[in-house]
Amino acid sequence: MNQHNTFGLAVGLLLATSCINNDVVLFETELVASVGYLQAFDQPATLHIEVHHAEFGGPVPHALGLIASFEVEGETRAPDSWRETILVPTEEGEGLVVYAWLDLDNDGVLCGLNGAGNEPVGLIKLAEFPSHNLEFELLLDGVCLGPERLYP
Amino acid sequence: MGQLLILVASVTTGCKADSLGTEIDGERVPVIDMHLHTGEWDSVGFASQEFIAGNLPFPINLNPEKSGNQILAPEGIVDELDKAGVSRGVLLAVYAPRTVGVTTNEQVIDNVAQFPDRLWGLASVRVDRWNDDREPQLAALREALESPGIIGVKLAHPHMHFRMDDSAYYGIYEVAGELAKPVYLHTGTSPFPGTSPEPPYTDPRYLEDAIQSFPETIFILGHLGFDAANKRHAGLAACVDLASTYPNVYLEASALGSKNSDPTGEILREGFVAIREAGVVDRLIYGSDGPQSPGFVNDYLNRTLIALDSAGYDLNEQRAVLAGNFARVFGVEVPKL
Repeated sequence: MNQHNTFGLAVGLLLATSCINNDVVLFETELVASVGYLQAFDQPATLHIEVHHAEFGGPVPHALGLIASFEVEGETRAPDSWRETILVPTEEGEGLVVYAWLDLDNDGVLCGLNGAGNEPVGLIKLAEFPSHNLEFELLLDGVCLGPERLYP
Repeated sequence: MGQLLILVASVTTGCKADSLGTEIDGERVPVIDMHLHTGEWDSVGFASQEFIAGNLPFPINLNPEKSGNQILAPEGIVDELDKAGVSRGVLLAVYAPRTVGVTTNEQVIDNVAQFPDRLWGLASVRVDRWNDDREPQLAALREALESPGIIGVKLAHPHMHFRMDDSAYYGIYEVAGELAKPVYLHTGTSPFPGTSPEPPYTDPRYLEDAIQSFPETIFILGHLGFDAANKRHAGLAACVDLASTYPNVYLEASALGSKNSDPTGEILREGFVAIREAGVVDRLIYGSDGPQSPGFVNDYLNRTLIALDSAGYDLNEQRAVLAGNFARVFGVEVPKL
């Protein structure tokens, strides 16, 4: 292989394997939630929270697209509020949905086998998004359902 | 340079098998591969496109879109079957827009129609707006299942994001049972980005309620509950228990025995040993999860044959796994050689 061919192959490989770096536009928003339950849970429990695009774009558009997930510990009872700042890649999707479930048995799994746990769940679509500060009430009035069953 | 290209092309395309079937103990045995993907590169999400491209070998990875479209086309798949000596393959429809993408029932029906003597298909159903459109989706599934060559249903809870124990989706099993179409289910975690790894989406034990509730519906537990994310058995015992307990449960061991997941072959062998020791060899159906890359279908079959042999499967048991069990479950004839 001569030097010219080597160079050509290298350029070809570079073009084929490299990618064009697109700018990712991130929209900062602070979420301030109060959490409501249908009954009191006076026991240590962890609230698992997911923030999704309501509608996700790309080659195959679809409902829900996970942006961030985090947990809030309740040391003596179920958490009744939380605050979190997240960065939303606004060009990847539209709208904002917050889903949460309460881990009553602290096993990290929403409702075990045979529905064990009856763990409460809730979801809200934040109609005011985009906004840099969103205050809302998240009512956990369902049981054992994943976000796919609550939205759309 | 020219010689190098010819060599690479030769290595990547391989050779066509002399005839269909594979040789075991001096006998030709027919093979059906029940797990093959078809479709188009553009219908795969960006994150999964990156994942797939990252796993393709050189030089195929240089143009993953072109290579992907070639190998996922029905002609490319039949070419891979020919190279492996596989008589029949089963193409899977996929509706997983959040993860691995979409291959529509219509695409599968069309592709099967191009090679009706070599391909069958499994239909699927879109569930990401289930609260709004479950009835039309079930109607579309029913229509697809009545199409020529469509012999069953494919579901993948972790890719499609619905719980295995959520009775809101049980209408799918009801339709499948009513039409006598077996349901293939991905069990275990997935290496693809964006999938649901939690136990209710991946652990086969969460299917037990559905298996009990629909005794007329055949459930084929794909991948033996393998933890693909960590490359280890996780749901094998649960799969074997379910097959031992319920006559409507079958097992399939695709993907987990690939070079990437199981370099030594021990993982696949371990799965086959557990199935044989539990006395449920008559429930095991062969699938590869190809075509993936040129030669994969053939390679996975060879790795399976080695694992079956080392797990102590005799000729009749291997015949059953490679084609006989499939033919019985799906109500088709074992391919003639």
